[in-house]
Formats: sequence, structure tokens, C-alpha cells
Amino acid sequence: MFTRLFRVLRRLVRAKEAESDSSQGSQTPLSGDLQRDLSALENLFDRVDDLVIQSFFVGGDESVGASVVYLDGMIDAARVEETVIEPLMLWARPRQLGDSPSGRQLAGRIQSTVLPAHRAVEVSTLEEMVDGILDGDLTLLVQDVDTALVMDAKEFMTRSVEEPGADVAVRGSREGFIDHAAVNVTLLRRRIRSTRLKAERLRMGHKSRTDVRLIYIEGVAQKDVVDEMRRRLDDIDVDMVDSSRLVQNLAGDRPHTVFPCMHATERPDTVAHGLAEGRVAVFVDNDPFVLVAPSTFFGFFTTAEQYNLNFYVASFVRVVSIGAFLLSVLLTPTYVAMTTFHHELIPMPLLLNIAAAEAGLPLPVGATAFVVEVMLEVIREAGARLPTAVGQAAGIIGAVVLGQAAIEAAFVGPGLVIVAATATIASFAIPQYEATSGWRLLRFPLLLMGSVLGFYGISIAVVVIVMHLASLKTFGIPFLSLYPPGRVSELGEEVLQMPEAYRRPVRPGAVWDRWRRGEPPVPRDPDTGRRYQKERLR
Amino acid sequence: MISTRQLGIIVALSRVSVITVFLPVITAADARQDAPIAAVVSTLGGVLLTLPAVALAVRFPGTSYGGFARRVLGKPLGILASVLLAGFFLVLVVLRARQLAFLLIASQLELAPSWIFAGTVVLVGGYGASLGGDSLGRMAEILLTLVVGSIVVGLSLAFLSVPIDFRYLRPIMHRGWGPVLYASLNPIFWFVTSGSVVLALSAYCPDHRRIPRAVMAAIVGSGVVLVAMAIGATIIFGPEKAQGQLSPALSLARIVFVHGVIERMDALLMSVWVAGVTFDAALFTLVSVVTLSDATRISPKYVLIAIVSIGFILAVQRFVDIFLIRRLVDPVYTTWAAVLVHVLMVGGTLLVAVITGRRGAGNDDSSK
Repeated sequence: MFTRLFRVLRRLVRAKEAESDSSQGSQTPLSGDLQRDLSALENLFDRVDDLVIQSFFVGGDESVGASVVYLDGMIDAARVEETVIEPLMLWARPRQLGDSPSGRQLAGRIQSTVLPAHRAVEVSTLEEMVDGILDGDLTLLVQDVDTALVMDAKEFMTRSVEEPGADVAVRGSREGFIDHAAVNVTLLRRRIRSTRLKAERLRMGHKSRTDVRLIYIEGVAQKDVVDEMRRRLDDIDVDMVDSSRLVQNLAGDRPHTVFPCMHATERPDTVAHGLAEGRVAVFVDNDPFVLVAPSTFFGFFTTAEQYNLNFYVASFVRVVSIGAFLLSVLLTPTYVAMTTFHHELIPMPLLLNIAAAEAGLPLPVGATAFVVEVMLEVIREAGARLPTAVGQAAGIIGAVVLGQAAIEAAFVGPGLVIVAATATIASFAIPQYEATSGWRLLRFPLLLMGSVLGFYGISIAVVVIVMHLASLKTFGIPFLSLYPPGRVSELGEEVLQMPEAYRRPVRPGAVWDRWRRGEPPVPRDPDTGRRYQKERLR
Repeated sequence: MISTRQLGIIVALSRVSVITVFLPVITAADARQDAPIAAVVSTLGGVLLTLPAVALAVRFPGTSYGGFARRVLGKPLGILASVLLAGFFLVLVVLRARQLAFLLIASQLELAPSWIFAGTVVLVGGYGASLGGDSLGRMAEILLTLVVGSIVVGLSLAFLSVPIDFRYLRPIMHRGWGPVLYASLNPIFWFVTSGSVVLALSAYCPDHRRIPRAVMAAIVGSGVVLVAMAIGATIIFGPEKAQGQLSPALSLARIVFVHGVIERMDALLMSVWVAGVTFDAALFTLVSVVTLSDATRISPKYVLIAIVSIGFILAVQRFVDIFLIRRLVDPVYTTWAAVLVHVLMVGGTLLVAVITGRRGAGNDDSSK
């Protein structure tokens, strides 16, 4: 009953909000009276001191007043002065226009003869004009003209293209995305020079009006996935969109999981590879991280750099990454389970050493392991938050000095410190650190189960995790797609980086899972006409 | 939705994971050196007795036993048959959980109370069932690779670690067919039980024409694993000693060690087996839920809650051991159970369907 009541109330609140939105969405047409339009604009920008309005006369004719409006700091003022205001002030009106041309004639002539170098859009409402100003465009209003010209003259400070900080490659491109979505799209276009690379622009956030771009290669990305991503982005209903993390959380399939359904990267080559494999990318302005979807479990162990390596090395690196993940979550729980419940598994000399080192410890091994793991997390976070030089020092002091002191004070055993440190280092070896950082948390429930029920507890916890993974879907594609059912040969292709992968029109991946199952017809590459994965499907 | 390959993998995994349970039944039932032959006979018997379930799944695509029993037997009788079948699978969940608890207490965690193991298996099985058939299908792909891999590696290491003697397999059949057939009765029951999950999982499988091939391949494939394990246990331990083992599979793993690194491999095998048993619990719970829900038209969510609650209460009780485990390892009882469930109920439903000419309408239930 309460659920039904709650639903009715929620529906009422939503209806009210929708009504309010529709009233806010009404458009105010420009009047053509310069003073009136400017005062309407000033009312909207009340107490916005960085709004600049520069008024002048067109062609020295006092009857034709004009104003440019922009936000200080978002355009190159000197360039505007030189290429817009000065030419307009000095403009000799052509005779064909006559003595009293209509506003529209005047506007058209100005656009084609005075401002041809500027990409200008003619808008007819106050709201469109405001959107342009907030985007950093220059707006031109002319007396007796009931439209305004919104010109792209953006020139604000952005950092230059640099090597990404979180996703470093030894061999490969040194370029990383920056905070400006338009520049980021350019970095991508330099890698995929195709008209099929589509870039759809969306506005997101009622207050922030953030520029968000949905990028995909038409004919390569599955239409279902593109449509679904577009729908989810359209459905995001928030005031502020200031990061890709927010979009990742709101457009994802299951927010309450540590396994993300899309991964974020700062590398243009990683995004380009993802798009060529049929994925879609989402660029969010003011964030250097670009989202790539759909992502599968094994995709997190792949980096664009691996395509630049010898395939033996690339395969080895990928296997090592998977092993590192397993070590990072399972090593400490296994050590605790073995030393607490399964002594018979440990060779006698080693067991005697461990027993001697851990005799007289104040806490049981399981509890000590918890303390050590939490301390390591604290040290890691402290190192990440501090400036680089200080952070490194804090990490060294925390890990080495504290660890040594804890062993000498007989607070922890040396075996546990070695195991926990190895697990922590292993967690750094997972390629996409940002995306997989949440996976580290899995070691805590595993540790709890290992401390209480030994190997049985770890097995049960692993089964629950695998069940959870098996239930996850990302844009309709199973997150845990290892290989098409029963085709064990393709398991190798997911784990290893074989030379054949370079020759395929589309590399293997669970993105094509549904096609492999033979549900829709097998698609063809739009450029070459070759069928995707034909030999694998039959 | 699951593919027919996934259905086959689910059936195979369900059977491979219990091999460590019914292998001792084969070796302890006086088959002695003929234990591998008993394994072959049980595989063939499993194929034969699974046929009615497969035939029903093909005849009524897109629905479970609960759905077509109502149509074939009528509403009251159909619901009754479905309740019995669902109850049978629920008993299997409880049984597996108790068996696991026994083995764990006997081999690793002597001081732990058995209800902890049995209870957690039922609860985790319930969680797995709540995720649906397609999740279990994907999980089976992972687990089968793990289980078969560990069996192959474990047997290879066992053969390399200790002397083996093929003379233990002779003389073949010197006591006739009697002991062999008696030893194979219990595994036949388990094989048929695993194959009968198709009665519920066919509802998730769009390509029903390929179900028979997938299920039969799974039965034969897992039969090969059973034969290999029976041969391994016999030629390593000898027929007399193999009969004395609580679980020859675990004993095989126990003799394997890597000097200076790990002293016993059986704990690792147990971990894989725990995963297999938990998967079975999830699978059988799902079968119960789908069957009962289709028969009674009650929401699967409520049926799941009821079944997991009953299963948990039963699993933490010791009396289950007396009334179930001791009887279900006895070939006489398992034979009767197989006849009752798989011949009378499933076979009877098929017979009525054939006589009345009833068939399913096609794969119209895409909501599963």
C-alpha cells in the first residue's frame, strides 16, 4: 500500500516539475529594438559583472546602432575588435541597399561582406542568444534587426595536449586528452579520418549546460548500443554535469556494483581502438577522461599500448595483468586461511618459521590482516593526495618505516607484511587503474570469509562474485562474456593477443556476442564489405 | 535466454561436479576392478532415462514442466506433479548442502558446525537462482573450464606422482554383471537427475530442436570424466583400497604435492568442488522455482523466497542426514526415486502427451 502511495506521490511531483519546466522553456523573440533587447539581456545577466556590452554605429551612421555582447575572458577581445567591431564601424554601406534597408537585408549583407571569416549562426530568440553567450560566443545585435548573429570567437585558456598522467605508455602515442571536448574530438579525428565517425552533440545539466559528445563509427558500432546510449544520455536529468564520472554513474547499467560497464581513459589511441571494435565514446567537456562503452571484464586488461608490442610480449603482459588482479584480491585472504585453518598445506619448515614469527602477536592473523590492509589503503590515499615529491616520501615512510617498526614491535608477522605488500603492488599492475580501483574493495569481504571459514569461505565468496559478474550486462552485452558458448578456442583470443587479431576488420570481443549467437544477421564492414567474424560464426 | 551449448554445459557441469560424490558409490559397491565398466553402464543408463525429459522439452518449447504438466495432465494433477518435481529438486539442494558439510568437516574443518556450510550453500544457491537462467549459463562456462581443468591437471599430477598399476583392472568381469549393474544404479540416478534440469531450463532456450544433441553430448562427456576418475582411483589405489575411501577423488588429490611449496592439493580440489556444489544448488533451486511458478502462476520472486526459506530450514537440520543421505546413497532407494520421478512422472506425462497429441505452441514465452 505504501509503495503504491509513494508511486502516486512521485507521479504528482513529476507532473508538477514537468509543468514548471514547460513554462520555463518558453521562448522570447527578439524585438529588433536594440535598447529593449539589451535591457532584457541585462536583466537576465543582473549582477553578472563579466558581461561586456560594446555599442557602436555601423558605418558611422548614427541611425544604425549595434552592440556586441560577450563574457569577459571567454573570447579574444583584441581579435573581436580587429575583425568585427572595426570593420563594421568602417563599413561603407553598398548602394544596392538603398537609404533605408530592411533589418533582414542589413543583417544578411553584414554577414556576407563584413564578417565572412566568422562562423555565424542567426538566432531569433533571447534564450538562444543567452545560450551562445554562455558558451563563450560573441553576439552581435543591430538596430531594427529582429535577429542576432552568434559568432564563434572562443578563446579561453586551456592546457596544452600532454602525455596522460594515469595511462602511461612506454611505446605509443604521447598525446592525452585535455579538458576541452572540442579539442579532444579533434585528437580522435586525426586517428580516424572517416566520414563515418559521427559526433553527436548534446547539452546536459539544467544549470551547467555541459557540452557532451556521443562519438561512434557508423556501421561499425551496433545501432542498438548507439541508440541505447543516446537514450540514456537524454534521460540524465540533473542540474550539474561536471565530470565523466557522473555520466558514468547515471548512464551505467547497474550503479550499485564495483564493476563499471564503461571505462574511462585519457588516451586518444585507446578510444580509437575502442571505436574500431564497435564501441561508442562519450566526451564530457571540462573532463580529460573519455568514456568508452560497452566494456567487458577482460577488456579492462587490455590497453592500446598492447597493440604496439610484439604479440608474445602483449599476450604475456595481459596474462600477467590478469594474474595481478587475482593476486591483489586473493593473496591476503588465502594466506590468512592457510595460516588459520589449513596448516597442513604449508611445508613444515615454512610453517615453523611462520609460527615462530607470529607467536605472541596481539591480534589473530585475520584481524591483523584487516588492520594492515586498511593501513595500506590509508598510505596509498595519502600518497595520491599529496604533491608528487611529498607523496612519494609519505609512501616510503608509511610502507617501509612503519612496516619495519610494526614487525619489530611484534605487532604483525613478516609473512603477512610481505603478502599484503605484494597484493598492493599487484593491484597497481592492472592496466586501467582508474576503472579497476573499485575492484580492490573485493579483498575485504574475501578476507572476512577467509578469516572465518577458511578456503570454504573464500570459495563461497568467489562464487558469489562470479554469480554477480555473470548477471551483469552492459548495454545488453554480458559483462562476463569470455567466449561464445562452447567455443573454448576463442577464450585464448580474449586472454592472448594473437597476430590474427591485427588482420580482422573487427577484433574479437564480446561486443559482437549477440551476432555470434546468430540472433541478428551477420553485418558487413561498410567500407570493405567483408563480413565480421564470418569464419567464427559458422 | 541461453543457447543450447550453454544448456549442455550446465548439464555437464552439474554432473561433473557430483562425480566426486558418487564415485565412491561405484567403488564401494563391490564393483572393484570393474568400477570403470560400472561408470560406462551408468552413463548409458543415464542417456536412456534422460530421453523422456528431453522429448518433453522438445515437444513443449518455451515453457517448463510446470507449464506443460498443466496442459497435459489438467490443472489439479499438473500442479500436483509440478509440486512433487519441485520438491524433489529442493530435496536435492538440501542433500548436496549436507553432503558438502559432511565432507568439509571430515577433511578440513573438523570443529565447525555443519549448519554453517549447509546454510550458506542454500542461501548462495538462492542468490544464484534469483539471477536467472542466462546468468547461470555464463557462470557454467567459467566453472566448467575450471572444474575440468582441475580434474585433468589433478589426475595428470597424480599419475606422475605415484606408481600406477594397470593390473588392478584385471580380471575383467570375473564375477559377472551383477556387481557392475548394482554399482551403476546410484550414478544412473544422479545422471538422470542432472539431465532432468532440461525440464525447466528449456524455457530459457530458444532453439529447442538442438536440445537433444546438447544434452546427450553433455551426458556422454561427463560420463567420460567419470570413467577416467574411476580408472584413476582403481589403478592408483587398487580396488580394495579404493573401496575404503570416503572420496577417492579427494584422496587422489591428497597424494599430489609440490615439494616445498604445497603439501596437499585436495584443499584446492575442495575449493573447486565447493563452487560446483554451490552452482548445483543454484541450478536446482532455479528449476524448482521455474517449475512451481509456471504451474501455480505465482510470481517467481515469492516462490523463490518460499523455496529458499524451506531449503535453509531443512539444510540446517541434522535429521536430514538420517532420512536423506543414508537412503540416497543406497542404490535401492535411489532406484525407486528414479523410477518414481523420471519414469512415472516425467515418462507418464510424455505418454499422456503422445496419446492425446498435445504439443507446445512454440517459443512464445520471451519474458523469461
